[in-house]
Amino acid sequence: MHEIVTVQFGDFANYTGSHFWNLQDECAGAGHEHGTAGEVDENILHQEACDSRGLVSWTPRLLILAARDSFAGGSLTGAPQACADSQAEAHGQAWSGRTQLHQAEQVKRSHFNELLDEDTDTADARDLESSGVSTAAQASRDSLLEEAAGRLNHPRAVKFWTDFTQVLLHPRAVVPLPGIWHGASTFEGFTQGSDILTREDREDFLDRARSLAEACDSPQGLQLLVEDLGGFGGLVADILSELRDSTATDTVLLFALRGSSHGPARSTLQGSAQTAWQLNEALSLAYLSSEASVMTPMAAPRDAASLPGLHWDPDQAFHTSALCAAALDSITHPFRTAPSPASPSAGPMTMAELMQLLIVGPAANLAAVCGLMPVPDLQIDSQSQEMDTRSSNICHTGRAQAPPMASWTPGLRPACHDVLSESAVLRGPACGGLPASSKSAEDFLQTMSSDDGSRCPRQSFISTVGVNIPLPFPGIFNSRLLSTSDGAPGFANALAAGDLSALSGGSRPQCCSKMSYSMVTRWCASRAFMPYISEITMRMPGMSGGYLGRSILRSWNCGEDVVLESQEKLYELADAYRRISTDPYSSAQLPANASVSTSALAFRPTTARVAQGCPWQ
Amino acid sequence: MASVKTLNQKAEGTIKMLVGGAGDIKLTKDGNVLLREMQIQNPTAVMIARTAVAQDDITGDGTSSTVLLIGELMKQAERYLSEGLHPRVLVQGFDAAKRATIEFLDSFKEDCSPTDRDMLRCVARTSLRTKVHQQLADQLTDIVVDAVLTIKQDDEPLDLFMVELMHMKHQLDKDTRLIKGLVLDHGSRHPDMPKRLEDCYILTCNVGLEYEKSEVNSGFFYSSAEQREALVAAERQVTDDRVHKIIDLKNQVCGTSKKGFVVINQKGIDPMSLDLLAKAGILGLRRAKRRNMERLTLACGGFAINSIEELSPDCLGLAGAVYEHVLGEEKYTFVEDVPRPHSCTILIKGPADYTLAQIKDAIRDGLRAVKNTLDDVGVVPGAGAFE
Repeated sequence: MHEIVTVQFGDFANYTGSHFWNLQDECAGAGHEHGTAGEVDENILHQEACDSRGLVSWTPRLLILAARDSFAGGSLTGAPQACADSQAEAHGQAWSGRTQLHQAEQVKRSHFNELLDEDTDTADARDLESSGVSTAAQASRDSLLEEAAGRLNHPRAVKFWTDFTQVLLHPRAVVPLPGIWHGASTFEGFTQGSDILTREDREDFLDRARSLAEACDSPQGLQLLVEDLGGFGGLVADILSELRDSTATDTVLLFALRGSSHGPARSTLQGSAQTAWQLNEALSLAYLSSEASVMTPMAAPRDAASLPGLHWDPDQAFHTSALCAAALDSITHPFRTAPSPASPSAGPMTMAELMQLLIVGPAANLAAVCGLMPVPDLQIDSQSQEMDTRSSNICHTGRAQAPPMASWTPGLRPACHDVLSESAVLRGPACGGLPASSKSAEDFLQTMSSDDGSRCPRQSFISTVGVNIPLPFPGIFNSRLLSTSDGAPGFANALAAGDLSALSGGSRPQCCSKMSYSMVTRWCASRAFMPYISEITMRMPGMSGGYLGRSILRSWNCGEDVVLESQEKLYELADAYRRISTDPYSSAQLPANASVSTSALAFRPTTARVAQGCPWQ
Repeated sequence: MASVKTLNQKAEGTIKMLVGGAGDIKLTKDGNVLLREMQIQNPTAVMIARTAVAQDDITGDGTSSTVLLIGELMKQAERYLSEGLHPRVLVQGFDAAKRATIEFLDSFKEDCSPTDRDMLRCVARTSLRTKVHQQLADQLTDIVVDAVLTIKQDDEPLDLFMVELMHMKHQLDKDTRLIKGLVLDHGSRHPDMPKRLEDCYILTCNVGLEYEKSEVNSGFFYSSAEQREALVAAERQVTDDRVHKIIDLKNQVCGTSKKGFVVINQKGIDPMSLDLLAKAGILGLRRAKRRNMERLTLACGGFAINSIEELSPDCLGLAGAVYEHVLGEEKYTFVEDVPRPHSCTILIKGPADYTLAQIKDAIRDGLRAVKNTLDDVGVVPGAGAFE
């Protein structure tokens, strides 16, 4: 019951997805070991699959749309990669003539994947023979795996999103996109995505989604991870209504994942790259927000200083996607938990309940994410509160200074102010070196969310178990702040060799397996989207009308009517948020940019043509 | 490009096996597919490739021939261009040639009546023999022609979507066959539901039979677990009522006879509803494809209902046999012996994914070829037929 089907579109989304499924796998594994298995219901995100050898395994309820040569096949499904010779003899069944073989360069699997496969094979062999195995051999295999995982940390070691996947996917989970030869350009424009799928490919994709949904007893909804600033965004905008129809689900949570929060990943000085990025951003906001139930744009936090416990490389997708995946994992955690009497303050939530919480007005369905990773020790917080009230007269009495949160939402800084409603998740907090009690955890959440003085409906979820770190996770932690997975913090107890250097930002690879981190996230509907949307809306006409903009749109085969329609949609979105902002019954102050929103109305086009169907065909 | 296509043309020509970077295999001779796989940068080449796609869209076959023809025409044109002829004149020449060719074809073609089965078989065989080997092509010829004749309705245009292509991966079985009815690629999700039903009523519906949280619950306040349970039970009651209405209809039409009752729902059916249906001896399928719903009503009669209030004996269809077939972890449901078989299914069996894909492509092309013959009511002998 309450299953969730996940669909991933695009390369960065697949990177994030790989990390996400690794986190789920690790959580399930550790849960079985430590007896906390009751908290998370695996059936929600995974299903049983019976492979060709008759073994039953859990595979994610997942469908991936990826460009054809962006992944290494065999590592996904555990099936041996096709060998051309054996297939050459097999082909003769349907054709008796000669065959000409064109073999593309095989995408090499990463060392980590190969070791993992060997490990699985030997483990199976061991089970079949049921013979004892020496712990030394097991330990040496484990250390080899750890070393391979550590090597993934090098700047250019990870080339494909399958390089660091530790879960096995169903053989039908990946839909490769056919060759893209329509133009000489790459798949970078939002509007290029709509006609990339042939009719048969489209049907095949919708069919697979349908069969995934049919296997669910009573699905909560769909969870889409989309790399929206590019062709995949346009593809999703085109196909989403059909996807809803064929899976017969209404609730769609769309996570728009971006490699960077403010501009092209490698910020060159080319004006056209920046303009293209901004055009994509506007088009994505216009089309995707109206199609999805709740749209959450996400990117790794812009300031490295906002997360003092971590250090990451903003140019590596391996790192930024890991941060996005960690946030995604936390905010969606309440969907996956089974209600348990042991933790009464934990509250599982379904997608429908979240929708009712976060959708604060008609068409106002954007959501922001902010949080802290890892969470600082709660006791230090209360100590500083005491010091403040004793020493200074300026601080408010009775209110602790909440640590400033980092924002995972591109375009919104500071994080999460002017909040209208939120879902807060706190996992694995520590208080004075020991796992925190539920009371102090609740207090912490309370202070954290009320620092801007407004009151809002909040659904909170508190768990004492931290988030277990999977093996191929990037080494971004200052490991003094980690704790081992059974709850004891790892202040002095660090990993073997190589981790003290990580504190000083050294480049030695480190591995954080068998550790866990604490995390707090807030997923909120906020009035702060108003200035963000206004800025994009006002910028759009100038950008799309200018020389650079027009030439870019032409290369994307994007017609005038698409631009006009997107502007219409942006105005509607801005209107929706303006209505919330000026609601006389709200207790919070109006944002200072109310003047901006009224002047935006002056640019409303007088002739509005709304294109029917898919506008850019 | 043209040189690649020449090899493609002949019936004894080579078939291309494309192995992707991730190890996926595709076997094809379809020019369209090959063009999609090639990296084409030259804008002229892109335009030629677009022509091939257009050809595929309209006719379904002959993409390789198109590319060949264009290649030759351009070679000829280049000779004249190098002598100094203005391109405009060439274009006018091409236009004139095009008009003349169309006139010639119209006068040259032989009439083909839709009832001439042999002629249709010839057309199908010509198309199929360039895609799969001879024996298989002959086997598929009959299937293709029968399929098109089955879906042909006198007063309406031929809609090839009414022929479903279903594939089953099976190591040993290689018999592709035509089923005058439907095959659905999913089955019942309850162990107690009947596995085979004969002489049954079919109910096609688009009604939600799973527990949905009510939209508005801001007015409900509960202060105890019992009250919450009562709230949940009340919401559950809505779905239960719907299921009970279906069961009542079944009892009404089937009575004490041995007739079966099948419910095929486009929306979901949750475990409690499945339980109720199973106890009443009803076979229920959930989340069916929209196209299958349309095909079902065409084949079995009746009409799809969108809300439970429309339930009545008139909306039911009939089928002679409904049974399920399990293959590994896949379950298929066959609906056969239908009163108005205006839709059919071609069941393709093969050992590997790429074999299935190859046969599927071939059948699709064959279907298009036969359809075009019936639409144009005429054939022109020649082309690849003499090989």
